[in-house]
Parts: sequence; structure tokens; C-alpha cells
Amino acid sequence: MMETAPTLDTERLRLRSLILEDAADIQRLAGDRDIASQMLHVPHPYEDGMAEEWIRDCWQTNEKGKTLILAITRRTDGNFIGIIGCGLYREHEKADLFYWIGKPYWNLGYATEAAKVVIAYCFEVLKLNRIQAGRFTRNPASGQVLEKVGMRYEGCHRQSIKKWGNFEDLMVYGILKTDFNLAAPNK
Amino acid sequence: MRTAPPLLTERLVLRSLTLEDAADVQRLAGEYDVAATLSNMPHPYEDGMAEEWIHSCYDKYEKDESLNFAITSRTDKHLMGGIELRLDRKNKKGEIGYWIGKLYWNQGYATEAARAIVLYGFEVLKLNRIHAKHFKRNPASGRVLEKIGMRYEGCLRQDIKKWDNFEDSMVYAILKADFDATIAKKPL
Repeated sequence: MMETAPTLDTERLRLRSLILEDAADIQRLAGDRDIASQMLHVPHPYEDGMAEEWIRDCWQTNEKGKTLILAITRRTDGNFIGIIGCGLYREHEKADLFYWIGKPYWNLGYATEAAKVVIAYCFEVLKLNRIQAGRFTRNPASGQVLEKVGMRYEGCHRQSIKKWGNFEDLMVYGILKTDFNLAAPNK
Repeated sequence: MRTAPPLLTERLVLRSLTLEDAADVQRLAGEYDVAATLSNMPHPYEDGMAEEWIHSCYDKYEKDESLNFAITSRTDKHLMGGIELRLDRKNKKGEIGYWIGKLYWNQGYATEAARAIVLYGFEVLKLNRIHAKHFKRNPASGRVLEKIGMRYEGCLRQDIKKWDNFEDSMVYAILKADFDATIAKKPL
């Protein structure tokens, strides 16, 4: 496996490079309809071989500096619990943040904890200026996560995404380096 | 070689670009005040860049990624600007971007061209949403977008790095449903 991404530790989580052994967990957890329905690019049904292919794609785009995609694991038991990643746009010093947490691990604050450390890494190490994220209108829980990590709502892009035959509104959020630096002393 | 079909409006012909347009493109798009309002216009606009860009337009048309048109005068055929419709077929949406040579500003050409592209996008390409972004410091472009029936959807703060400054992007969009309800009933 290529060592292309950092390992980031938080109080309860370890974010690390994907390994092929994650494929079965990804297929099982992301294969849940309630996960796939919230994501722009998660296939459904999640068939055999798709996760391995996706992991290899992630290695490549991470290697090229186009993405930073990490597995979210729990430090106590090492369990794989989800994915967090960024699409990187170096030219504009910005990133698109996305994540999913497997359903058995919902409502424990893991998404917020993972997003915080990735945002800090993007600003402090990658020296980015802006991080943005989108969520479907019907998924307010994700909006709460984005606000908890310091993002501000920047508008609703109506019917922006066609998902399973429906046009979905995308609520867009962003955080700037200056917002992050202002909030940092309170961490 | 396949190219986009020409579109006619009252005063304009929007037609596909040819290599003979390169000198006009370089001269008009090379102006500082034009380049300053666009996220990805090179500046200075050097020899050969226009030819290269025109070739890339053919390529993107072939790949169904975007349609690029020269904005030309119906009466004297002069090239006055450019307009692009970038396509996202999966989501049935498009993004409009345009520029008008400084000589031709303030005559409603951008509005006329953009209206024709919106009509083409909805009626022929069967899109569901067409959006556009402009820099906050260029409110004239926002007025064009409102005139063609788009609605303001929000400001992406410091979205684009342009000449070492981070620029806010104002996002506007029109849906097929808005278009059917209002714009389609007005004459071009």
C-alpha cells in the first residue's frame, strides 16, 4: 500500500489511509440505503468489488494531491466506522469536505470529531483558505455537524443534484481560514 | 468536426468559434477590465492562447462538456464576446459564463446572449437547472442574471483565487419550472 495520507488522531478516533482490508466494512456500512441516499457518489446497491476499486481510486487521487480521503476508525477497538475526505482545489486554495459514518455509529459525535481534525489539517498543514461542504435539504443532521465545526450556511442551490431520479436542493456551507483562526483560541 | 448550432436573437448571432476568431478573441478578452471579471481568463493574453482555447472548445463539445459560442453582431458580423454553457448531464444542469468586449458594454448584449443560451439549454438540451456565478465586485453581471430570470442563491465566500485575491462568488440560478412559468411566455 502507498503511504499517501497522514494519520490524524483525535480523542476517540484515528483517521488513517485506506487499506484494501477496509473494503468489506465499506461495502457493508456504505451499502446501507440510509447512507447512500445522503451521498452524491456512493453507489447503491454496493456490489462486490466496488469498494476495492474505490479504494484504489482514492490512493491514486490522494497521491496526485487531488483528494485527501481517510478511513475513520475508533481508537478503542480499531473498528472501521466511516469515511472522511476532501476534494482539493489547490489553484483556489480550497477543499470540498464530505463524510459518512456507518449507521451503528451514528449520534455519538464522531462526524463532528473527524471533521474538526480534517479542517484543522487543511488550514494548518495544507495551508488552504476555504473549506466547503454541501448537504441535502432533507438531511438537517449533517447541517448541524457542519455548523458545529464552524461552517457557515452560504445558500441553497435549488435542484442542484439529481439523486435516484429526484432533483435535490443542496445546502452549501463554508469556513474560511480567518473564521478558523478566530475560533481557534477557544478550542 | 461537430460544432454547436448557431443561435439567432434580435441583434446577435451566437455561433461556434473558428480559428479566424483568434485575433479578435485575443484583442477583446485581453483587455484588463474584461479579464478581471472572469475566474479563468489568462492575462496577459499571449499569442497562440486564443487558438489553443478555440481547439479546447471543440474538444469539450465533442466530449459533451460544454458549448462555446462567439457572440457576433447580426448586422456587421463583428465578434463582440463569448458565451459558454458548461454541462453536467448527470444532474441535468448547466453553468453559463460569458464575456463582452469593452467596446460593446452597456448595450444589453450579454443579457440577449444569455437569454438565448438559457432557452437553448431548457428547450433543446432539456436541462433542469442553469446557474451562473459572478464576482461580488462585479454587480453589473448580477443584473444581467436577474434580467434573464435567475434568482440569487447565495454567496460563496472567497471561492475563487484571482490574481492573488480571494473573490466572493455570487450564485444565481434558474430552474426549468421557473422558466416555464415566466420566461417562455415572453418573446426573445
